[in-house]
Amino acid sequence: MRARMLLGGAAGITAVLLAGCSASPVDSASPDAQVNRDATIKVGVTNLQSSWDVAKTAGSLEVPIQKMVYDGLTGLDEKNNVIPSLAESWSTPDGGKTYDFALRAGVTFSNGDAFDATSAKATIDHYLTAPGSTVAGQLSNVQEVDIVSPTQLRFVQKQVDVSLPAVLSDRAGIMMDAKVIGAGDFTKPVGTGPFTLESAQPGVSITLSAQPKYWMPDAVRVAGVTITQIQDPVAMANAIRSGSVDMGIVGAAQAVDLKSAADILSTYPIKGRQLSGITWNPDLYKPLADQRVRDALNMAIDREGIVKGVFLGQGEAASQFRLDGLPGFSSTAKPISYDPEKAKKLLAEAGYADGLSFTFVAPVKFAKEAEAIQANWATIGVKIQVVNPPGSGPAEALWYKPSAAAGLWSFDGKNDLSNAYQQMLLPTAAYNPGKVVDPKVTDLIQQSAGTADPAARAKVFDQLAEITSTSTQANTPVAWVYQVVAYSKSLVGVKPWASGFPILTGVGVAASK
Amino acid sequence: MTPTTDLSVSPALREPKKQPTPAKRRIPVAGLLRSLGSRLLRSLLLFGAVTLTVFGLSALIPGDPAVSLAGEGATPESIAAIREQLGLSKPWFEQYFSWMNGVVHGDLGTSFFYHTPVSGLLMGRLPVTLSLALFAIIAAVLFGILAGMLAATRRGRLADKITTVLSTVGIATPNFWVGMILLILFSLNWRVFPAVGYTPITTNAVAWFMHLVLPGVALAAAAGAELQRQTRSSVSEILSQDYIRTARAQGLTRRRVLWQRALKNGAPPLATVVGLQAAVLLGGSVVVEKVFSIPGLGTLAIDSVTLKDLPVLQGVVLLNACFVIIINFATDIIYTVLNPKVRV
Repeated sequence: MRARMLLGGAAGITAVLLAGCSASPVDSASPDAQVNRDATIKVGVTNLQSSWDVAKTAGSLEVPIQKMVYDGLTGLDEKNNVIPSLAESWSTPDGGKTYDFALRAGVTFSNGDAFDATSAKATIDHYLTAPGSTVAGQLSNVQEVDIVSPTQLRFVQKQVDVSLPAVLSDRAGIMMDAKVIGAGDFTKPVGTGPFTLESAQPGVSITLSAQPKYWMPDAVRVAGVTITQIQDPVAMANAIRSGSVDMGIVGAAQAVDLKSAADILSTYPIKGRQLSGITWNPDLYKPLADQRVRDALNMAIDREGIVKGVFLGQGEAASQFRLDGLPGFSSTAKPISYDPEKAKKLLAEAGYADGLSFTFVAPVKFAKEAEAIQANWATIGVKIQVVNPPGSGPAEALWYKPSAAAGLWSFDGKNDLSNAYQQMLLPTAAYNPGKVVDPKVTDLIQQSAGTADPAARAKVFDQLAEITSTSTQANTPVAWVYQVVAYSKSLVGVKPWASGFPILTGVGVAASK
Repeated sequence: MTPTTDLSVSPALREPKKQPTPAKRRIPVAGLLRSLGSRLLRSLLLFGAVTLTVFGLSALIPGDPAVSLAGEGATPESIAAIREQLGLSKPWFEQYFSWMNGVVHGDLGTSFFYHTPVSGLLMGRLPVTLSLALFAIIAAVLFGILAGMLAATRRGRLADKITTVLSTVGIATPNFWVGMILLILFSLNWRVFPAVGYTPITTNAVAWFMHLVLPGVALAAAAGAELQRQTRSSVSEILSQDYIRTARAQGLTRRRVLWQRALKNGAPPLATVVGLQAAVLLGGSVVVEKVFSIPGLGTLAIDSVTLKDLPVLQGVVLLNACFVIIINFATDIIYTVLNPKVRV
């Protein structure tokens, strides 16, 4: 799971794009469906990518569009498992410090250049050294990248971390052409992906055409894709309903509205993509250093009520950093119970019977959730002043220039769970500004980073979930917030993806359209 | 010496009298130029003040652009590096003069977020907003003047009451609400017009027009209503003047009296209203652009605020300010030409 604060928060609902996760199998649900291969799919998104230079992109939100033109070294399947892509396989000879990736042979970029270890190394070096690279953070544990052979690339890490293949399924693994990197002109991106760029207007739309020589030819079933930026959630719903776009992602309120168009639209919820939670910062408000205070505040949150009242049922209460059904979720860990009376007692025990008062920051899109929490806490005598700065304001106030004692964040629920725990709960973590420490949790996280065996990892994750779901740490999950993919019934081959990104691989337009 | 009859007649009477040029046809060029020169100077000073204000207000937007750009997993070092790269760590006056130097040389800087020249971004969005504003201005003028004339010539009658009610509704209703209603009716229910987006006229003229109808009407509603009221009031007043009665008594047709006398003499205040509304429509299309997801300057402005893309925000506001200054200047000229009193 990769932590992130959503950046383009004007509309509140996360931008989601539709892209080809390169190594995903072609849709098997409708392999014989008659599709119009000359058709173009029109997709609505809330935010287009900021740059075709991946080193300058603002976050993982941009991955799906980038992966329509580029491929990654690794990818994710529907259930969030890391799968091969441009890297056919990988191994670690020393238990997670060094990784050898076997690159797919015979793959070419859209300009005809061969994809090989030289391109791969040039790309990773670019991410690590480009001035102001926004991807360098994802690769902060990478010490060096070496070319073993044209089809073998070696990553040497500073310390053991088995999450590297998962990290490379995100921006850090997207492969670009060495020539383009050398020239520094990214206006005409060159990748090995299923589409090539025809035209683009920043912040407006991009037009892509199918890459005829794509290394997985059956994955592309359309002539092209037009992606249009539609930021307003109501406008997005209108665009989908009126047929201006074939596919888009909407929030809870619009999803309810679109039910009346069920004759022409299909929908499915994205469940595990957006987690809202709370960061606590005892450095700015001393009472939060007391475990009892954090636990009291945690158990005074009516999560079920928030899901029902704020998210109109389009979500579920969260006590773990993993959604039920995805790898890493613990079925044995019990969630913290909603108990305002016990919360009051805990506060009194901690010496705060008269209540507390502090500043609470929240993204605009979670303003109502923050108000619900404010009401919950008022019942135990805790007063909070809710602030909703736009854009990256909450991230600044919580993590980068801390000014709020606590606040809501939004996390992306994909990639590696150990990586998520590292970023959220370790004392040195970027998202733990108050340095809240639990030695046992720290130890378990380090174990999870050094354990490649799935069974052993699952056991560690179980233990971590059991502790963190009832003992309030630096960050506390509150609710999984669903988004809904709505698409025209003329599209065939669409299938839900657990990580949230609807994938266009194998999607086509019915010939009768 | 025989006196001649010729000598008893003054030359003025003997020669045919030259008709003096009517006062309204004489335009004192020197005075006009002086007046325009003064206004031009004021416009330039205003432009300078606007640049300073734009820059100052941009700096007041809470938040650090470098944090936005650094993205997830950012470290203090990476944020500091980006801030340095963008020149955000320099003193504000240094940033201002650097920016102004660029502006004077036609360089509005590079977008923090899109990493492309701001001028390119603005030029990409300008035709969209201009198309929308032009459509709205034409629609507003057509509705406003026709409905206003109709109401003025039929005061107290049904036509007057209907157009007055319409204009009241137009003024009182927010343009985004009008847009939503139009969208639900004509796009979602009847599917006559597209719900969102924009097509360049160079790509498809019909699609361009179809995309502009709903947002254009929504945007024009208030301006048209305002213009209708002004026209009604202005023309009504003129129609009650003595010279109008005289013109009618001289046998001029009703149409000529209405269009050539009443409307012509009522034009100066209408020109002012059109000028003001044009400025409002150019800068005020933000919400309508959002409702219809039109990629114009308004949308770009909102995005740049959210993303803290200061060069783009400064560029958009500066461009809008230039438009307002130009429109005001043009309105002044038109008013000066139409109304001789102000030239004195």
